[in-house]
Amino acid sequence: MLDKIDTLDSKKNKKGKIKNVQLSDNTVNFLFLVPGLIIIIGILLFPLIDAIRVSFTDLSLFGMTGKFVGFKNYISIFTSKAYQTVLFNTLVISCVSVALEFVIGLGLAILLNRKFRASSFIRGLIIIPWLVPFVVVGVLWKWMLDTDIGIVNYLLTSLKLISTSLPWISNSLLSKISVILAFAWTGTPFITIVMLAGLQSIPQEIGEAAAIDGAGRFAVFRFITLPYLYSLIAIVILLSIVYIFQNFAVIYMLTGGGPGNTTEILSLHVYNTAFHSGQLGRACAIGVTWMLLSLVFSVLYVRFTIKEES
Amino acid sequence: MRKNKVFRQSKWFFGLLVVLMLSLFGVAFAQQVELTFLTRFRSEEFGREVYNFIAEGFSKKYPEVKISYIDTTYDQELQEILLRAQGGTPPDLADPVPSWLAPLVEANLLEAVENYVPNDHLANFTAAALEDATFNGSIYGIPMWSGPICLFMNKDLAKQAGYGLEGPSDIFEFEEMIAKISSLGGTEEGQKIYGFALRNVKLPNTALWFMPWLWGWGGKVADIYNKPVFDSMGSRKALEFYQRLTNEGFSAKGQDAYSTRITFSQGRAGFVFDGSWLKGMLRTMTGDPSIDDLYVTCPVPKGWDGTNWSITNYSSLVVLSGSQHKKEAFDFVKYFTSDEEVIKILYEKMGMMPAHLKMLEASWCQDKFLDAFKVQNFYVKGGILKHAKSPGVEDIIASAVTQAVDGVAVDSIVKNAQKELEDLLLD
Repeated sequence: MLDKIDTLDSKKNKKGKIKNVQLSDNTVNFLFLVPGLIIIIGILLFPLIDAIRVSFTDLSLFGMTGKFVGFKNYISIFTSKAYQTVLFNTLVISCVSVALEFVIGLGLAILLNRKFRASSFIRGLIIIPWLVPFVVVGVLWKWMLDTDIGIVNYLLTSLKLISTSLPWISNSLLSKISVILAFAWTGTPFITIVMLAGLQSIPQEIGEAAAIDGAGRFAVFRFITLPYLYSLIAIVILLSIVYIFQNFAVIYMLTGGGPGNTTEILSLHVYNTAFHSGQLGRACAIGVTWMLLSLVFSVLYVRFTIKEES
Repeated sequence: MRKNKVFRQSKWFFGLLVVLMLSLFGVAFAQQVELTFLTRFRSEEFGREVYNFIAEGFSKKYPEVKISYIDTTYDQELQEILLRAQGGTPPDLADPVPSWLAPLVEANLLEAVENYVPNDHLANFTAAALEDATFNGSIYGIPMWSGPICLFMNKDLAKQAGYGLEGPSDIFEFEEMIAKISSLGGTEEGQKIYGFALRNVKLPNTALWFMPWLWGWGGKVADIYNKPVFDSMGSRKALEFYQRLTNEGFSAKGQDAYSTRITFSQGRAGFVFDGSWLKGMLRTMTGDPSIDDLYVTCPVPKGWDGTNWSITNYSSLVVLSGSQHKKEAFDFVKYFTSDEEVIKILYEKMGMMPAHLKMLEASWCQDKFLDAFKVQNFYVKGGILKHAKSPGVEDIIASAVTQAVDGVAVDSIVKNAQKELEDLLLD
């Protein structure tokens, strides 16, 4: 076989018409990446650059014409009380939701790490909230938390935990709690599964050796299990925060950002500014700030990933 | 051999015949015009049945035209029209509410009707209905039906509270009736009875439903120059009215259009504020035509100044300026808005009160149920504001309503809303 190839090369060289092109590994790798890069540039990069361009104009949805206004949109949003409230809501709702998801998710992972009957079945059940589309999550929680006919109020009043129904989506504090619960419900399975995988990768012998040396369960968890999971915890928390940043459907369906704008986060604020107020330029400026905020978490994620790999 | 040859020749002949027939069929299809109609009214089953009937009827009259529906929801319809049109694939027809017409006209997306619809057709509609669709002297839509909002009153609850079936005469009596009905307590199943099923979640529709109460208390959103004047005593009184109803437990907090209708259909609300289409919806929800006996309809109670304005709230049938078949589209508009069979089935199946003045006199349109709407039809104003940014205005008003329900001080709500309106409209 090799002889035949040598002969072929020789024939090519003699004719001098076809040269034998040797490509380096890097070039070949890059060529394989080209189709994906074209898609990324077309679908992501070009709209992103155009959105940044539009953020410096006063483009209107209704007229589709806009002139350059410099940093006017950015100054306007940073000095706007509404934007400050929305930014605060985004950070609070994201962080509290993820904290709740993590505590519950890690707890479930520790429980599921033990072998018991039906553990596989329960693992499958736990994934279900994660599979439900966000729009459905919003509608589901809206009906469950309805003041008049919601099942949550019905259960709480039946158990005499409250005397009158709570206005879950009409009260500024309760509506934030409602949103956090909905996010936690849909995001906990992801953390559970990832943490479970992490727990199962920890060598059992280390824990057993520590137990023989007299370490209690809590000490084993704190000094052996957790250090093994630090990088994984950081990655999963960062990803969860970014997922909530991107989320629009849950809040849109559950509270609409209300009452007032107490549950309005950046994604919904961009939508309302663009499609209700028709201010595309301003909406793009808000979108750029949203992107920069997400970028902070994404950079942290990349750093942790590189550290984990190294 | 001879038989095989004949058979082969016959086979070719019949094959060619089939191909020729298919080609003619294809040509016929190719010549058939397809009109796309973006609508939100097929989300309910009875709406689908009615709209399919209308499409079939039109195709019988105009065999060369076929209607294809694009279904959407109330919350998405305006964005969908805008994005489809600006993306180069506009629907031929749509049915926006009055407050959406201004943004569509501003974006040059609507075709004026004058070139296609004769004056004698336009003369069949009320001045108010056509005025809402008129911009810079041109009319851009024909009303599909009348949409004034009136009160539906639960007869049994009103009687139990010691009232007759005339309905409240003014806003003060209305609030008294709400309080007394709420004090009836609960149903046999232990569910609470509310005086008024009131929409108060953060949705554009909440803002629209708030307008008659704002006007009733003497407030308004903007003046005739579209300059915001929301910071007024009238606005404060109207928001306090909502605050009292919800905080006293006379109305449930967190209700939207759908949940208010459910509460009323269960016989647990003294009043609900809705259009004539609620009749069809209540029948569909309960599956029981005798639900008609649950209620009577009453006009909006008189406000401080003795007037009782409601919102027009009809939908206009419009043709998009990007349509490639404008003549056929306007033929459909004329058919939809004047054919008696169409208007009759819209009323009988969906409860849509005719906007066509002659049809209002038809024998099938003399239901006592419509009396309140016919009276109210002469005391209607348009949407919140005739302005391209009216959807943004709806957001601000809905936000103000939800804050009032949340118990926030009304003074600060009004001042903040005024500032937001100025930033939006005067920018």
